[in-house]
Amino acid sequence: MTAYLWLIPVLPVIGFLINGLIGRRLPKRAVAGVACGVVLASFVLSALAVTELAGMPEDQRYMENRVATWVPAVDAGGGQKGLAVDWLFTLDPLSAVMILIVTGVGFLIHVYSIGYMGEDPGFWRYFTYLNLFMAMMLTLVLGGSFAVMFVGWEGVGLCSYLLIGYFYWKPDCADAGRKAFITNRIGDLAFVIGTLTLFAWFGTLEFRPILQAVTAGQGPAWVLTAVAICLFIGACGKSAQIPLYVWLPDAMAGPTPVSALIHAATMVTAGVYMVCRLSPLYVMSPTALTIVAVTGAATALFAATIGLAQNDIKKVLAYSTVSQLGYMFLAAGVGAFSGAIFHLMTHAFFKALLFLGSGAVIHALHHEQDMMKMGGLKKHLPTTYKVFFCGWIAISGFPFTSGFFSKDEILWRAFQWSPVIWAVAAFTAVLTAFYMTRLMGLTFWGRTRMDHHTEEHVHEVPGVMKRPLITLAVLALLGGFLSVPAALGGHWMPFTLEHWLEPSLAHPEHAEGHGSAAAEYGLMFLSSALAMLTMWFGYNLYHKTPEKAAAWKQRFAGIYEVLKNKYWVDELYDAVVIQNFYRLCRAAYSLDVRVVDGLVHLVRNLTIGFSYLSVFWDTWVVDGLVNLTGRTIRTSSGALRKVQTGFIQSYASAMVFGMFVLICLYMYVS
Amino acid sequence: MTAIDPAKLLVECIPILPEMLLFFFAFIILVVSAILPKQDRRWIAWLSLTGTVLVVPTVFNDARNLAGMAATPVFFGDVAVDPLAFYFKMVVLVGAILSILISVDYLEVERTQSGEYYALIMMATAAMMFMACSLSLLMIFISLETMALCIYILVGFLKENRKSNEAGLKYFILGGFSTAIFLYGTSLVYGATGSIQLSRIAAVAVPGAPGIEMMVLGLILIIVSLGFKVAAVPFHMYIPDVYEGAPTAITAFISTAAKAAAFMVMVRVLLAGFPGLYTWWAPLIALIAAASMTLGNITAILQDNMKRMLAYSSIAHAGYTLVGVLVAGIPGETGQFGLKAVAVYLLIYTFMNIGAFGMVIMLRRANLAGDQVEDFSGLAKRSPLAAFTMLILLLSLAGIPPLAGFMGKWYLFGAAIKGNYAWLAVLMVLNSAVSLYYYLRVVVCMYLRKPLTDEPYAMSPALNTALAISLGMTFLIGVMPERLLAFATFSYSMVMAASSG
Amino acid sequence: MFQGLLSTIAYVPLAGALLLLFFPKDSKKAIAWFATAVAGVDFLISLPLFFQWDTSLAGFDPVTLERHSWIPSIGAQYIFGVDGISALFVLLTTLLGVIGALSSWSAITDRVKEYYIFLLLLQTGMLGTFMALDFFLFYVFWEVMLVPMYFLIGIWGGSNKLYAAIKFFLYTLFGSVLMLLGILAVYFYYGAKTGVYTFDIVLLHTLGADPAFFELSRWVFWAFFIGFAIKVPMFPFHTWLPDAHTEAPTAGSVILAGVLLKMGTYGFVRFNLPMLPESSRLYAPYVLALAVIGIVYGALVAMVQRDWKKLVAYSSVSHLGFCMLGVFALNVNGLNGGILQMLNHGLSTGALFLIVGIVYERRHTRLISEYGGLSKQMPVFATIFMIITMSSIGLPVLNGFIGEFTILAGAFQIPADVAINVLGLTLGGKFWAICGVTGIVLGAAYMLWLYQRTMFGGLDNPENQKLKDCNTREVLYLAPLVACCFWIGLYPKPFIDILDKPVAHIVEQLHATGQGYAELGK
Repeated sequence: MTAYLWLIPVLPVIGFLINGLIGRRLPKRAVAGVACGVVLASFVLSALAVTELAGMPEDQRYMENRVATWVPAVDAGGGQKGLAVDWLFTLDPLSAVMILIVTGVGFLIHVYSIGYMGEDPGFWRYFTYLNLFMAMMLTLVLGGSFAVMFVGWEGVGLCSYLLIGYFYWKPDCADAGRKAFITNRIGDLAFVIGTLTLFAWFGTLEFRPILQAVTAGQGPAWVLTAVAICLFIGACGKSAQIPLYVWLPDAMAGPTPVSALIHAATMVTAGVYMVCRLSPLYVMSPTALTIVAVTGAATALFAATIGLAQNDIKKVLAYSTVSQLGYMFLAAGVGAFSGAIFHLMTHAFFKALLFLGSGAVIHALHHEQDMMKMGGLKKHLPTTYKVFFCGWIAISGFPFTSGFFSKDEILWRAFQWSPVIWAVAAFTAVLTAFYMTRLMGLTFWGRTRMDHHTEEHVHEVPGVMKRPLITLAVLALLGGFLSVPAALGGHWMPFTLEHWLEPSLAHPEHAEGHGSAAAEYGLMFLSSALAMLTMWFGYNLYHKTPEKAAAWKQRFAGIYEVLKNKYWVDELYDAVVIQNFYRLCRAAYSLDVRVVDGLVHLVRNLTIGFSYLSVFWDTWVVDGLVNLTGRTIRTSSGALRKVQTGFIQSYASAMVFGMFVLICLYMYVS
Repeated sequence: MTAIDPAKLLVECIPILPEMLLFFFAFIILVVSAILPKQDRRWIAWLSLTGTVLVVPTVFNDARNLAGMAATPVFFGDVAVDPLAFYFKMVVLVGAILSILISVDYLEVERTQSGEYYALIMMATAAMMFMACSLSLLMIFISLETMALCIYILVGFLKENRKSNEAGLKYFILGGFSTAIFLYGTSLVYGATGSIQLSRIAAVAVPGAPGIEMMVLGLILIIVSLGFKVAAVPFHMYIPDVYEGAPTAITAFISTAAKAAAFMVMVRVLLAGFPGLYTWWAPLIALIAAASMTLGNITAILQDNMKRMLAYSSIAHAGYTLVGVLVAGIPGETGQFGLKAVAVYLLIYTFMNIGAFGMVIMLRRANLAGDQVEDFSGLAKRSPLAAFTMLILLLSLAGIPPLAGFMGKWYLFGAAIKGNYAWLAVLMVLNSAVSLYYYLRVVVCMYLRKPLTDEPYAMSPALNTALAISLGMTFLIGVMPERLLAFATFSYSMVMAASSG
Repeated sequence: MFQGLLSTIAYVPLAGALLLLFFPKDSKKAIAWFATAVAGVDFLISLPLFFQWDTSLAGFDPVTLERHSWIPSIGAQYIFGVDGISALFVLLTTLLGVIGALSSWSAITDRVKEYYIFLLLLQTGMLGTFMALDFFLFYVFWEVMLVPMYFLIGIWGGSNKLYAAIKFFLYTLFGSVLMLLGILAVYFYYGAKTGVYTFDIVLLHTLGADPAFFELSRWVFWAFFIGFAIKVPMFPFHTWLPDAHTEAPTAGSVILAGVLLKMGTYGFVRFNLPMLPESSRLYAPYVLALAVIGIVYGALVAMVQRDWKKLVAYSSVSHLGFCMLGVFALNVNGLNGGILQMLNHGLSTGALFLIVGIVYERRHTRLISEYGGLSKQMPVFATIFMIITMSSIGLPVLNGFIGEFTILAGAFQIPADVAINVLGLTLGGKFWAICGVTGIVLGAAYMLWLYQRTMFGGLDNPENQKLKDCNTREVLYLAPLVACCFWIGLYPKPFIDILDKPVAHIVEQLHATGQGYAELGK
């Protein structure tokens, strides 16, 4: 088997080490060279691996590369399996697609960053983190067992934490980073529970044996369902689904290329990837699939509505990302795993493009993100406008753009599964088209709202940023042709993604029922028509008659407020979860101080209290008599007389008392 | 016997040679001190030391062929020659020697250097040695009284010091009181059993015997008066005052040697005299033990006067030791273990305690009493070695390994567990934690407080020797206790002797 | 490896301490150097235990086993020996010994001589505890440790040092004397049973297979439990820890957290499980309950600490809860993980205390609110702190993850009938595991918040603006810890190989008697 798979994630590690250790002393171009070089290298390597994979006969397209033992097998007594984990990397059609996306898009964004972060003092630090991220993401994708995948899973979390908090001196960045990490961890909690339950049942953590066992019908249904749900919760954390989506919008505090790479193209799709990777498990549990589908649909719609009313350009894109991820889960939920991956890919293209585009805008406007202070940039930033245009039509699902194909497939399968879900999805598509148009309008069209000073300095992006944009634009437009649906003559295409993914994905039974071709065409026409109508409408609204837009805002002021404030979900979480959590902590602490430690102190104080008592007895009750009698006869002679009186009598009386006690005791005993 | 045959008398006297010798030396010292000019009185100290040391080999000579033999009544059947007696004689002698050592320069400081002091110590010692081997209540009574009388005087020896006088008088009157109780008890027992020989009493004193009530009543009274001698609650009232008032060296002496002897008597009486009535006296001893250790420790917590604190701690230690006595009463292996615990503990305690009091003496300067806990402040800064010594002694008293005190504690805990007195064991455990609390107070003063004065400490060759011995033994017994234990194992056979009359 | 190696390791520090006596008081530099050198040499001597270890050994290594008669009349012997488990702890101890000494150079300025003497004595005490195979000897060393630690806290501690020191001493002593009673009970039972009075642990372990011992063993279990649980410390016996940790000087906290706490868990592994298997199985649910309470509770309390050191101290409560969860999962994974996690905790929490110490030396405050934005001023420091933080919240490829993950794997294998009934509902089986997992989230919560409050944000406090980054010495003593974190995280095989056989052996002893969990009901 191919022994070089491990190099794909390890190459970026090398870059990470070089930049991390000596990057500070290196010139910027060297840092950039190293960083981009290693990513390019692993892209090439991935390409090689994939071609090799493609060379294999379809049904056995699977490479594995067992690098070393990580946690050695312990000899377990009592019929229990010892934990054993190897550094296992596997490549199958699914991960093949992923590594190409990750390394490809990743490389482009690396290049773009050279320009974008050009003036940043922490240049080397930025690229260190970025390389580490690539390494972790690739580990996640190539990992052949839950444990190895978890390495990547947590690793990307860490990088996202570091990169969101890249401007750590800004409190909100630091907060956003922590929020992201902890929300992810909440997901991981479920993820670990799921993983280890699987381990407890199947005694291994590697995907292949587990999935084979599952397909063979081993393991009780309820366990599989429970595990599937737990893992899905994990995915919700990573891929920002309800209820754990809240971290993603805040994550926009990071540098824009980071948002493009991590929070649009790659990391956030890890959840989708995992669900697809485990498709055999999910198809075993319709319940879990339903949950996935519904959550996905809900998130898609919910986030899209919020996207309608955001003024921060990156926030719009962030909610759009959440929404699109919902789309992917929807797809997975209805059993269209290949559709999910397909949309994942196209989304990676156009969303990365949009983010980088917005980055160009922000860069041009000296880190101005508020769309209300933009407008009319079309003439200032022609190239940016063009590429952004491509992104816009792609995401809105304009016919024969990448978004069109992927969305269409999903909608079609959704319809087959349940028209309601389809309706939600379609409506979401409309909303998407609308808020993207709004974004275009506010940013590029119409009259400028920039202050004079800013307008002076607006400048088109440098080449190093331009090229990646153009590449992505092309991909966003044409990427769809990688998987043309059968209805549009897919089977005449030399290659369709759906077919390619065949070996790694499972198919739920219900997905077999094919609807009529007529219906398919109908839906296709309907959805694209809707999309175009919306775009046209929005174009008019925001380009031709902006004042009308203002009027609309007035009309729906109430709803607008709700959407603008994101349904106050963050506030809700804060009030319900976080504040109570802190209350709990404070309660625990005061319990610790007052009760747990209090008991200890109580014991001490009691002891000392007794001590006082017995000292009191010795000095006052016994010697007290002395002082008393002493006072009466102070006039008469001194010490000796004094001694002869009180002391002795009292001591003697004490002794007699003791004696008496003993005798009584004896009486009692006998 | 009507006519005393001097030859026979002589023969009978051989076994009690060591005691006789001590008395003899004591008298010599009295004479010498009378003729010696005042300024070189301290020679007497050395003389008496030599005398006491000289006695040791005679005791050994006496003990040569004792291993494992039962108590053989000699000297008109009133004196036992047995390993246990031998062992306790050694303990007492050790106590005496160390006490003399720490006295030498202390008396200089107190300006009461005189022959009587040492003579009295030696006579008291002789008396204690008699106590260790008496087999009859009468003999016990006589030796007890002899010891007591000497000690009364010694306690009040500092003539100018009112506290000392008070203490002496108190001790005297209360002692007399307890003696009376002892006599009363004895007479009751005699009335019930018709004998004062422990072995004969043992033969009669079994549950259900005629006149058992009277017998038990007598036994209780005897226990009470012995409880007074070993300073057990509730007969401890006088202890703090006496310990505080007495010359420190004497406090050391009575808290170790006298106590050991008293315990010896208790063991004798209970094991050799009333083994049959174990079920009757066991609960009393248990009760006294529990009360002593608890009250002793708890009261010690608040003492600011070092001597009082040690007084209370010695009450507590008496409580621990009583647990050993209690278990010793159980026939068989367990009893042996208990007895061994008592034996081991008392010797160890002798070393530790005399050491501790020696430290107090070191702080006694011409113009300052130095017996407060605060007086230990800054000791570590001024004299690290001294502080270290005190530290070790205190930790050993608290029973921290690897120090002698721990071996003692270990045996007592072991005895309690082995004798199924788990509740006592737990009580001891709790108490040892409490005791650590007040011992550490001193440690804190020594290591963390600033010195109060820069008055030079009353160090002297003699005192240092004594301290060195106790420190050394505390370590030695703690780290390689085997020697001592083998030595103590010697005293097993007593139990058989006791049970077999 | 050779006969007498262990004694050498154990007594080199003692010898060093004795030699230190002859140093003049004020030649502070020389004293520090010498003490560190001694500790270093000791570490080097102990290395063969790792590199020449024969991983096929289930029991105690015969080559290094020492057995001399000591107190025949009570049957106590001088037996030193290590199996895989204690070997690792010996190494941990010697390593932290060097680091502790090195970290004190600038921190300790007065009474330097005494300080290093106590440090070295402590070292001997701890090493002896891990090596002693005679219960009596074990107890002796166990208590010997208390004294130097008491002084370290009491003399060189913080503002409230006396309180903390005496609390530590009394609390621990109380526990250990109760344990002593347990030891005595076992000792006499074995003696009465076989006629041989001995403290030889290997012999006493055979009691595990003696059904008649069961009744007594129930009591003994709790006697031991209190002794060890106070040391661990398990909830609710932990309240001495925050004070001791907070007040102790840096090296003191490092050793306290790194080694002393491990003695409790080590005690459970070495004594409770093999010697009292049935009781261990019988009472496992209760111990597990306390363990998981500790995990959650410690984390919650850590969350709201204002004092940097106290926060770390409470985090120890949480982490040790993890270890106990693993140990009382009573299966191979759990034990392996538990023991590994003890090492990890020693490394990462030790490092955390060193980290606090570094800034404390510069600013003389432990209040978190006093700091903020240090990353700008101290990048190296920030990086190391970040790595250690990640290791302590169990991020993969760092040691914490291996430990926690293995423990949890074991916890998920706890049979469902290992349960307790609370208010009618039965908590058991997976419940323990799931409670344990929450630790992952909570740990991240308080550690990251700590990191953010100290390292991130604006560098507002003028006091902090002139802070110096770690100097070479500081990096030097942090580096090995960081290295170990990565080593165990990336390639724990050597460690697990050493643990594997002994642990399997213990598990065998554990399930040799009775019908396993089946009879837990009665």
